[in-house]
Amino acid sequence: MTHSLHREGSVKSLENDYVILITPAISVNDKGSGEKLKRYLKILVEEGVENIGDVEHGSIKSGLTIEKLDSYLGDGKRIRAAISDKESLKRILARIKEEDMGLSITVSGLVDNIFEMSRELGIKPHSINMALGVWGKVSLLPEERIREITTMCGHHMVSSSLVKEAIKKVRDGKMTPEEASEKIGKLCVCGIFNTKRCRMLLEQG
Amino acid sequence: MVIINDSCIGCRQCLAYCPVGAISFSAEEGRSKLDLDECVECGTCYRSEVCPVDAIEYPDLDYPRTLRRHFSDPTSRHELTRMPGRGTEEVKTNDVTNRFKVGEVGVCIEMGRPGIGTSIMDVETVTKALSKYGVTYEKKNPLVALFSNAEKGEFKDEVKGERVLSIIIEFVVPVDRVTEVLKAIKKVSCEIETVFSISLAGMIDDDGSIPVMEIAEKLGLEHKPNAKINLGLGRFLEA
Repeated sequence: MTHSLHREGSVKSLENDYVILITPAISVNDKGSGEKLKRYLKILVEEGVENIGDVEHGSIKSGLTIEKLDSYLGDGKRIRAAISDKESLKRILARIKEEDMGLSITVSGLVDNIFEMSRELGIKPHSINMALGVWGKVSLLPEERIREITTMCGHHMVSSSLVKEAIKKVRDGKMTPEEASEKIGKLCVCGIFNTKRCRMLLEQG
Repeated sequence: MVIINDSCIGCRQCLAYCPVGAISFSAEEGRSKLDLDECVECGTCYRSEVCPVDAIEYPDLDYPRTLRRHFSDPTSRHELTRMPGRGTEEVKTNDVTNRFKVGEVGVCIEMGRPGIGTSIMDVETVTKALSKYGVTYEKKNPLVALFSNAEKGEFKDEVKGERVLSIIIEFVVPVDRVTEVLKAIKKVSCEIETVFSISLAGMIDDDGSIPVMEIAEKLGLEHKPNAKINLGLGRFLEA
């Protein structure tokens, strides 16, 4: 799946928007991965995530608690989280490297920043999935400022109509950016929607 | 999805939630109406709990309409992969699966993304164009279950009338063939009634250089500043 790859926005807008995916590989290292996932979860929560969840049970923005998420983690499950600042990501990766549990770790975000962080932490990136943008009948697309928000839900549960409505309500003073971002973020079922970035984008109008 | 006519009070609150704009308001009937041809069964309207009178239902579906749900609702489980979601592990576990090897490029064409949706007919337009290049589709991708003839890029007749939120065409090509394949994809992108998000996957060299980025730049293709990077921290389970 490429659901964390196609987030849109300028370099500045993406500066503090990262997604971390922790994925046991089926028939390779999924056996016994449940206990490891619980340890990864502890690291993520302690170092600070903006959103986290799993696709089968929802995210902390849609009512899932960390305790419940922990109880659902078993062999072969996955963890997905959104991180809204570079320093938190760096602390998380440092601890993951130190604990060396051996599950595959993928980070989506600005390439230059991830490479720089990897160098500092002594991590050697292995492979990459790189977006070439959107091709085809692009006249169907909503404007970019809308897509900056909708593409943060990689499964596209967030409609452009809802984002337009939220922008208008914020502009009219009928809703705060925080209320709007929480309302929108609730629709992302896997936990990679960055509500903090959404709030900042809504504040810009 | 179903909107129960007798229950709907016409408050219109659900309209904005549909990612593909399949819900409209009928002034004549004073209620919300769902266009079943456009609805991709993603379940967003239902899960949002926006309806104040619970008029939105999440019904059991029959094949082939079930495909809409499997390719659109991330909480549903694909019959082929037994996994939620529309894709595979692709680059996420490449450090232990070695799926994309040195000298190979993975291509992911996510039809209908971002947020537009796609007909299966449009997907077939692309797979037929790719058939000239002998691409081998990722066998764990749920797309392969739709083929009647994968070599020709043809789908089963019964699935051709369906629409989904997105579907990923996923395959690997040798580096020396990627240019002609990308040119073919660019050409066919002008023949479809939707959009797709496209990406290239591959290994990162020991010195940190990124061959797929160099390929894109050589072809004059724009690539985004953000990407999905496997950090190489995975390993095989010790015996």
